[in-house]
Amino acid sequence: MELAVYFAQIEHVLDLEEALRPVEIERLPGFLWTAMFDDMNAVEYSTHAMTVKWLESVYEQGGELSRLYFGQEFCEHLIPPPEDALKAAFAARQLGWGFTYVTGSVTDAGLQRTTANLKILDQNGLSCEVVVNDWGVLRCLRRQFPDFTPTIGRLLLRQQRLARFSDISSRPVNTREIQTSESAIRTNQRSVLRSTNVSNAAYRKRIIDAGVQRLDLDIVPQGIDLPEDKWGFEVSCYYPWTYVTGGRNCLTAALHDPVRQHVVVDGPCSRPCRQINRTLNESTEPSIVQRGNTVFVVNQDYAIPYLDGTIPIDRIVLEPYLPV
Amino acid sequence: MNITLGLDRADTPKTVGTWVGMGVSEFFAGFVPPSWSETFGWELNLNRRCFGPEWQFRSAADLGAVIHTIHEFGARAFIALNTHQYTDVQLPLVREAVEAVEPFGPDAYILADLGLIAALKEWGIERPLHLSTGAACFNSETVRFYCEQGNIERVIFPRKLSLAEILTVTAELRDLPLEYEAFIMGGRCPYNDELCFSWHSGEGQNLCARAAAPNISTRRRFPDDWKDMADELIALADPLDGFSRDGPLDRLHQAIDAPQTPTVALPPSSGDDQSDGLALRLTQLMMMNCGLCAIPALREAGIHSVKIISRGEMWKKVRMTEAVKAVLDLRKPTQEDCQQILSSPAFCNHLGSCFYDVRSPNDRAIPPEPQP
Repeated sequence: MELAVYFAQIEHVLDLEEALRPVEIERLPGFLWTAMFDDMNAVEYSTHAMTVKWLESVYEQGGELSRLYFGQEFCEHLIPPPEDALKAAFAARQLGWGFTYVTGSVTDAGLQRTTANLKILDQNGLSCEVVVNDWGVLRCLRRQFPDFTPTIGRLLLRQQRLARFSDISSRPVNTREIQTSESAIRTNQRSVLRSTNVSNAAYRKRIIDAGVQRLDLDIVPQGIDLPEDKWGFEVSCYYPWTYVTGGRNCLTAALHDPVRQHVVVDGPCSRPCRQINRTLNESTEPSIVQRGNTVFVVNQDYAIPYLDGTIPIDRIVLEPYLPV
Repeated sequence: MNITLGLDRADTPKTVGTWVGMGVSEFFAGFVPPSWSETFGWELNLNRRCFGPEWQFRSAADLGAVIHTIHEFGARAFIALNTHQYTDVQLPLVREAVEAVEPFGPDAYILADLGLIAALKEWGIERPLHLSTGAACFNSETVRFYCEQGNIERVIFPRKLSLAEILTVTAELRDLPLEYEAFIMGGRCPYNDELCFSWHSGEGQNLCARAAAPNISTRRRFPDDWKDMADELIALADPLDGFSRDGPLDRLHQAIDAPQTPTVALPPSSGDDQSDGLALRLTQLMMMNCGLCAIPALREAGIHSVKIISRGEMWKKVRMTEAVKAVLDLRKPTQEDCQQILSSPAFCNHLGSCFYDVRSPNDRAIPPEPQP
């Protein structure tokens, strides 16, 4: 199993040792732990400690990191400047790691910034794997940067994330004007929710023709019926944060311009999310945390089949911090 | 500019005549036959309305009669098959539904799944395709990509594009014979429809409903040395010393609890403030979100149709359609014209009412420089 680490901020790449330094918060007495982490905004940090601890256990079993993911999937105001993309790619090279540049869903302006980053990587002989979350980015990649290898990202793999029938979200099925039993409907829904449109052969042919070799999945409570041949692709999954939803309007940006909570505003964002976090202040199982414009959920035990090889993925993309 | 209106099973050939009389020239509808709902329920639907049967046509014959009437009036009918993705398990029933509708000659299918575009081609369906908001056409290259995949006739823009961004896309695509559609009335969604993988259901509360009435915690992010603070706490001989003044816990909370006041003063009506009472609330219930003031800019961008999205809510559709038609009838509608037609100053002053940011650049907040 290949192990990659994913950062959205160059500071973490440049101080990798600190970013991956274990911290044994489980040794804190309960009342101190509560005083430090008892807020939904702090879940990122307690999760970080658990994630790094998990990484330590992988090291002990002989595993090692061999790839760096870097870039921005969720907010085009946070797309790194070309110099940061270059620094990250060189950092990966110095470590002897593979490099994956991560792109997002973008407007035409965001597409320009994305292609500027791909261009500087290309000019420096750093052709790499590129996570594509926008069909327009894929088209640019194929036409302008044919040496780069596209991976279909989790925004284009639209498997339902907070599935209603799972143990953690057992909401009732709407049975209006339906004769079939609720349990039979749930069973049928489950078979769909444990799959993706990649199971559609006509679709597979289109994305294979576009040069796609890898799929980057999110871990979901219902799991996935991934066939042994993985539909002919290599498959990764992100851990421990799963993307749920997001918007181009932003709760956090609204601190500086309240209209941004509701609609898209032209012009630059002051990026208060670099210093501040605003999230739903409700304790949920699993924990739902918002960073900037994006909502994530922390994986729980349902991640185990992805991590222990039961589901035949071949790469884990570790997210020590929220990738926004 | 045309009005595109959503139909539901309360609609009949007779109501189509009423809508056409009110100025509607394009219609869209969902079709969910019992074979589908009895297998996958309402939550995993054939289109993006997952709430139950009221939003859908259930019988091909009923839908066919409506399509026939639409065509008699010289209007157009589109069928929504815009679920984000269909798996191989679902495709046989999707095909069954499409083949049931095909004989009635709908003018286009509205799609969001590249896989369905590929499947329709394999099934020999050559009808024009409209890219749903779920297709995430945020940029011109994405549209070009889809145009290379199928018979694309129209792009329905995502709700979360600014007017300038819409103008950029249409300008970049002048060489393609495409139609464009933008949202004008109805629910704007707290999140991006096309990138939302949470649940919609007629049962229980959806995640976005919780986000719309937010109980929000705002904190600064942990400082870079938070691990040192944790290590200091772990190393304490007496854990109670963790609460000492200027100790690591105190320093952490001084850092994360620092106040964050908005840099822009909020207008009298904003956020979830309901102090305008019914004057605001009634219009919110009726219109949900409104883009009337954006119509001049949408015309400039070459938008062919504006969409009213209240399928399943007949009582809202009448008032929405009247308001949109009244503005479209004006050659150069101003914001004052639109506000007069809506007749609810409280709604128009409310920050969360608009579909688009129609402020002039001079009225926008100047973002402070990001702090290092």
